Amino acid sequence: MSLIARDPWQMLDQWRKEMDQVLGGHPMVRDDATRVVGSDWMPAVDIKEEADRFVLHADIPGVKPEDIEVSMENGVLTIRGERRHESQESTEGYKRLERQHGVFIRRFALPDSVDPEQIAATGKDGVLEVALPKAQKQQPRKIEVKA
Amino acid sequence: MSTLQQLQEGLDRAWTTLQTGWRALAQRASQALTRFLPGEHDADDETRALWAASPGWGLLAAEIREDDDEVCARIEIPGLEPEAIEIQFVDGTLVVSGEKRIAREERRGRYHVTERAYGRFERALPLPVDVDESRARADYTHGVLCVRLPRHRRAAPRRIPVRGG
Repeated sequence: MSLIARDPWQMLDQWRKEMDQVLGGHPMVRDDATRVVGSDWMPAVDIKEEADRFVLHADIPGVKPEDIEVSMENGVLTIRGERRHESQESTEGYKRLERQHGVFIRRFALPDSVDPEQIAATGKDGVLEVALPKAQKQQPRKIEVKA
Repeated sequence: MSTLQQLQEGLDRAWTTLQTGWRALAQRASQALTRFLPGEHDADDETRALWAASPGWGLLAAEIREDDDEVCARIEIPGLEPEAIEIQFVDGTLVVSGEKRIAREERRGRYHVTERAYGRFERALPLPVDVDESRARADYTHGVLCVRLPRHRRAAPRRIPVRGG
């Protein structure tokens, strides 16, 4: 009967971790912190991994590139900004209003392989591109075992 | 009023609020929700894979504003070349179509997140008033297409006197 685990909770925890690895897939997919901070809308993103970098594209139409803030702290990439109304027009005269205005924020936990110093962002035609180069592979350090 | 009645009333109210909210949301989003179909030309394997992984639906949110002189329609379509946008007028309806292409990059890679839609799309927006489409102007800034349509200049209403017999 030694096959029965003594601590079922530990097993459950182990199982959860394994499921996280399967479902969560990649660490960058996790952006659960976004929901905690108030965000009026969320831009859609694509994240691609290339041999030497990750590239993130976000659809942020109607926001000037200089009004988008990209920051990096404790391994978390944050994209935030605000979509304001195009001009100081009054709110009268609108026959259709589907666009959402206000603050947006998205966060992504980055894998350790990203070099935070080398991150660069550009904006064009309402699309933000963030290039996240991977750090040069560190040479594994050999530790000698002394007798 | 009994507790049960109060509870019943509260639930009814909550249900009505939810219904109203849902209807407003559905109306707002479903009109903007636009089908994206795979483009037609020379797709390589990576492009095809991205088409398969991307949502197939995208939100092309629009707003139409009207004042005394013109109608102004703004549509969010990020990431297009201005030449790839087509604007037509069909029976008082503004029809915007185009294709959101995948940037052709030399470097190969693997997508971890695909939330953006790619491919051909078409969005039709009925216009609230008669416009002079021959004088329409359009520009594309920061991923927002703005179409300005001057209203039709109508002749001042002519008074027709009624004569007695």
